[in-house]
Amino acid sequence: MPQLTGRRLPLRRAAVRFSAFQRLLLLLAIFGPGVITGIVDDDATGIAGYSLAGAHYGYVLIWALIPVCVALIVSQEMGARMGVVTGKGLADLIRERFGVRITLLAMVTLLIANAATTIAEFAGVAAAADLFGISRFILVPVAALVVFAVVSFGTYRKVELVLLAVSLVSLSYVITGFMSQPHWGDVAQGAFVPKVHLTLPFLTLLIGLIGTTITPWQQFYVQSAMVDKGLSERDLKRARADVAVGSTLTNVIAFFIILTTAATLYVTGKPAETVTDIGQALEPLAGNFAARLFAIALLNASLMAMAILPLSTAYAICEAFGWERSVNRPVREAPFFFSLFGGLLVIGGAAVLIPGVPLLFLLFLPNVVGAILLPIILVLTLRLVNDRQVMGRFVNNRVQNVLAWATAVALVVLTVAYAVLALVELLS
Amino acid sequence: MSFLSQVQGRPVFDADGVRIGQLRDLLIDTGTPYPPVRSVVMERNGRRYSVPWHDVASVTPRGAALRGKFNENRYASPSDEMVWLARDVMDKQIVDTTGVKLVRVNDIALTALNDELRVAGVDNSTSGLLRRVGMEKAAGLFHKRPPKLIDWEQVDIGPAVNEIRLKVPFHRLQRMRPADIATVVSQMSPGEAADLFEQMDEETAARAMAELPDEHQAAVLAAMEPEEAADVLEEMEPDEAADLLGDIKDEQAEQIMQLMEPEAAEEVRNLLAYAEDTAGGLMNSIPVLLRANDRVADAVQRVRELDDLDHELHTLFVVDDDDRLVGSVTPVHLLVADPDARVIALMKEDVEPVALDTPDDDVARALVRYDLMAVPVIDADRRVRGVITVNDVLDLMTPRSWTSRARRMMG
Repeated sequence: MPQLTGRRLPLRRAAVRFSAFQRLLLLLAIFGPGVITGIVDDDATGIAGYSLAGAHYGYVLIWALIPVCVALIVSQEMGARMGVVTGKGLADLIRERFGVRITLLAMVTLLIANAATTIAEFAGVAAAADLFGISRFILVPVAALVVFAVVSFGTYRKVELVLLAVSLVSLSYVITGFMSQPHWGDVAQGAFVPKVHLTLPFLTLLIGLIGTTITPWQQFYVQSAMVDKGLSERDLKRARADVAVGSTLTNVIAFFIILTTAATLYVTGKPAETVTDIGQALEPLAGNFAARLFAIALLNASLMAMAILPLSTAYAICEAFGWERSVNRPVREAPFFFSLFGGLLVIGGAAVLIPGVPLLFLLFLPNVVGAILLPIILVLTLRLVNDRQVMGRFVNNRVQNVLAWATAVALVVLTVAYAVLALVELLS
Repeated sequence: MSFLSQVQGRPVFDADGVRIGQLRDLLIDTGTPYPPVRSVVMERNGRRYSVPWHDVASVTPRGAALRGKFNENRYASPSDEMVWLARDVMDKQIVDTTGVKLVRVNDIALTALNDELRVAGVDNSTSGLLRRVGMEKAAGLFHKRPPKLIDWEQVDIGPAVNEIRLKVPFHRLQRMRPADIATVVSQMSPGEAADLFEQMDEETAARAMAELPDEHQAAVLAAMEPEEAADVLEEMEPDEAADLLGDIKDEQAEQIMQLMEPEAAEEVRNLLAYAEDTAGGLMNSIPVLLRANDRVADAVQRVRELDDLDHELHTLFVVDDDDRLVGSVTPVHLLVADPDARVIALMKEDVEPVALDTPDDDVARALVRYDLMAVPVIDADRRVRGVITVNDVLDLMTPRSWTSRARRMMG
C-alpha cells in the first residue's frame, strides 16, 4: 500500500468558484434533515400557536415548552433512528408490519392532519397578502403555482436554501424579545412553575402548543429525509445530534415568540383576534415596518411548509399503497399521486379564498387536529421501534419508551379533558 | 384460483371436521418455478405449528382441512429456512422484471394443481387492496375483469428484507440490463439499493450504478458498506468513480479509497484534483501510449499485452521520446500497416488536444466539431495526462432530462 495519507488532495472540487452568497448557502446545506425539520416546524401554524399563547396568557404557558421540547426530541429521534436503521420510510414500515387495514387508518390520519395544515399554510399566505396590501386572489394562486413549479422542475433543493436563509427573519423575535423588556422574573416563573387553568381557552392553547410542535407530518418527514440521505447505522450519532439540535431550535424560537407576544401584546390587555393583531408584536423592533416584517416571516414559513407537506403526503400515501409516485411521470401513469398532490394544493388555495373566512382560526385549527391525531402515529411508531425484527439491537431503551408513551398518554388525557370541558360548556 | 388474503386467518379443521386452529401463513420453497406450498403454519392456543403439505387435505377460503387428527407432538414450530408468504412477501415491495418497476404486493394468487397449491403470481391491483380490507364486492364494481396478476416467474424479491434474500436466489434482477436495473433501483430508498448492490456481482452493480441519476448515486454509495463500495468503484470508469466520491462526505470518500486497489485509488485521487466540469475531471487514464519511433509490430504487441480490453480504444495516441504528444493513429491503421514500418510514418499529426482546465462544454464542442471519438488531455508541457471519449461527454450533449429526482427532494 503506497503512502496515501502523506499528501492531501482536495476532495471537494472547485470550491473556489463559489461566491460569498453561495458559500452562505453551502453553510446552510450542511444542516442535516433534523435541523431543517426543526426550522420548518416553526411554520405559519407555529407562529400563530405560539403568538396566541403569549398574547392570551402571557408568560404562563412557557413551562409547557420544556416537556414539549423533550417529547419532540424523543419522537424525532425515534423517527430518525428508524430511518437510519431500516432504510425505509414510516409509511413503508407501517404497511409492511401491520398490513392494509392499519395502514389505511394511519394514512387517513396523516391525510386529515396534513390537509388541515396545508390549508393553514395557505391561510398564512393569504394573511401575508393582506399585510402587504396585495389581493389574496393574486398571491395565493401565485404561491400555489410557484410551489408546484419548484417541486415539479426539481429545483426545490436550491430554493430550499433560499427559504432557509430567509427563515433567519424569525430571529427578529429573539431581538424583539430582548428589546421589549420583559419581566424576567415573570418569565422564570412561567417557565419553571407549571400552571394549568382548567378552562376551555387555556386547554385549547395548551393542546395547540403541543400540536404545533410535535406533528404527524414531521414524524414521516424526518424519517424519509434520513432514508433519502442514505444514512446508515454508522451515522446514527450524527443523526441524533441533528434532530436534537433541530428540535431545540424549534422550541427556542417558540420561546421567543411567546416571550415577545407576551411582553408586547398581553401587557396591553387587548385580545389578539386577528393575524394583524399578532403581527403588532414586532413593533418594538420594526416600528411601522412591523406588519411587513411579520408578513415576510409568515409568508416564508408558509412557503417552506407548502413545498413539503402536499408532496410528502402524496408520497407517503402512494408508498404505503404501492401506487406510482413521481412528479416526473405523466399524470395518467400516476393518477393517485397527482390527485393527492394537486388536490391538496387546490383545496388549500380554495379554502382561504372563501370570502370572510377567519384566517387565524384556519391557522390554529391544525394544531388541535394534529394533537388529537398524533397519538395514533406515536403508538404505531412505538410498536415499530420496539420490534426487534425491524430494529434489531436499536430498539427503544426504557427511558425512551417511558417518555414517548407519556407523550401519547398526555395527549390523550388532554384531549379527553378538552372534550369533557367542551361538552360541559355546551350543556350549561 | 384463490388469494392468500382469503385463506389467511381461516379456521383449520381435522379430518373429523373439528376446528383445531387458525391458518397463519404458508411456507414455500422458492427453488422450483411457481413454488408449491410445503407447509401450512397453524396457530393453536398461542403456539405455531408447521403442518407439512402431505398432511393437508385442502386449503380454501372456507378453511383448511387436515387429512388426519391433530397431534401436537407430531408438528414442529415453523422453520425460518423457508420463505413465509404472509410474513416475508405480503405487503413488501418486489421487482416486476417485465414491467421494470417496483411494486407493492397487495395479495398473492395461489393455484391448486395436482394435489399441490402453487404460487401463481402477485396481485398489486387496487382491487387487491380492497380485498384486503374486506371490500371485495366493491372491487367487483370497479373492475369487471379479475385483476391482472404479475406472473411469479417475472418477479424478483428485490428489496424485501435482507434475511429472505439470502434464502432466495435473485437471478432475475441481475439478468436485467444495467439501465433497467438502474430504473428499478432509483425507485428504492438508498439503503435498499445499497443492500441490493452489495449482493450483486461487482461488475453488474458498477454498470447499474453508473446509470443512476447523480444525486441518487451519492446517497446509495454513502449507504453501502465501505468495502463493498470500494469493490464497485473499482469496476467503474475512474472519472465516474471520482465524480461519485466527490459527492459524498470527505472522510467517507477517504475511507473507501483506502479500501480500493492502490492503483485504482491512485488514479481516482489524481482525477479528484481537477474540477468536475473541466477536461481534467472528465478524463480517464490512457491504458497505452505509442512511441513515434516504435516499429508497428512492437506497437501492436503493446496493445496485445493490455490486460483489460474494456477500454474504448478508438484512437491510440503517439508521443515522442520526451513523452510529448505528437500524433494519433487508429488501431485499424496499425493492423493493416507493414509490421516493420515506424509508427511515425502512419500517424496523423493534426491532433486537437485539450488542456486540463478546458471547460467540459468546450471539450464536447471540440469532439463534435472535429468528428472525433476521443481527444487527448495534455498538461502545460504537452505531456498526455488522459483521454476523453464521446461517451464521457454524451450527457453534456443531450438536453438535461428530467431525471427522477422527485423522491430525492423529499429528503
